[in-house]
Amino acid sequence: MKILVVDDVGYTCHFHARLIEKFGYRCCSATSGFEALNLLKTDNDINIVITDLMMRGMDGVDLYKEAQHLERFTDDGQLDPPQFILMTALRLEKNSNDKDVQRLKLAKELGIDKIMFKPLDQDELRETLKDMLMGAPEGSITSQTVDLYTPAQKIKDAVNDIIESGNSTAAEQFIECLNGEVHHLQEFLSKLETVQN
Amino acid sequence: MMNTNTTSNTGQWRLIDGDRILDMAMGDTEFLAELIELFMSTVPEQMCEIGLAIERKQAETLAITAHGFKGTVANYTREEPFRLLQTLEDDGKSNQLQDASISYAALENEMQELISELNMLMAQVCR
Repeated sequence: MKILVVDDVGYTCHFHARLIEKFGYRCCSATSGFEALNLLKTDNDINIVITDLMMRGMDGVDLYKEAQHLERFTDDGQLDPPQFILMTALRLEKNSNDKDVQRLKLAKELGIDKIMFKPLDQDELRETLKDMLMGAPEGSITSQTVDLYTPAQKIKDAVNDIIESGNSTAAEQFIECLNGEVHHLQEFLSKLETVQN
Repeated sequence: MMNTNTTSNTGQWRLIDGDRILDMAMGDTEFLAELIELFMSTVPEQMCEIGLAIERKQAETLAITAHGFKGTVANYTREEPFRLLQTLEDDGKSNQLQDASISYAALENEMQELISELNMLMAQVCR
């Protein structure tokens, strides 16, 4: 298990990487989204990414999206995408037309595992990492047990956030996204039934 | 904006919160010294980038650089240096750079003050 810290500000990157080492975790770092993506392609031990939102080139949201499509394999099968913590010094309630605030809202809509505000609360970070690593499997994910509580909770949180925001477009997009996923599950169940019959 | 008085009515420091900074380093003075020294080593480059962006009227670069530096400075102070960086970031985002050089000059003074306080803090706790 390893944690990847991504920030294009050298000091912040170093600080968070050292902090995580002091928590007792293995850590590596990257100073751009592109570098982070390359590390994810080559290092299967990375299962958590802590990334800044605003970065030159590839920002934290784009990195998250790219990471979802990465195919990482071990001898035991395909790995799940890493979990993501997004760090930002922005605040959602402020200046909602700001494009960076829009990116932060998108991050929430995409379901990034955790959003934390700078300067990071160390106790919260330590607890978040502990929870994430407890839920994460040691090696790869193949089939076996699946944690449904956490994703279900996230869906509920996302729905609440959308309702609170009053953003009807986000509501429609989210419904579309959910319908797509329901369709995938129905296809999966149909295929299973066919195989069993 | 220049303030040569490092003490305040509410405590020993005008800009920093010594206890919070120690907490940030988890009470480890070696780690604290490492962080502060690294921070100080990055200040000239960050200031230079911000100054150049203002000089060249590169609003987007100013917004990005000031935002990044603000995140770093926030680890040490939420006072005037942080606020000035927020102002510069906002100036960059709104492409209103006419007052940016004034804010930058104030920031230079405030950063000197911040470094001075951090040096004093290190001298006190990292002996």
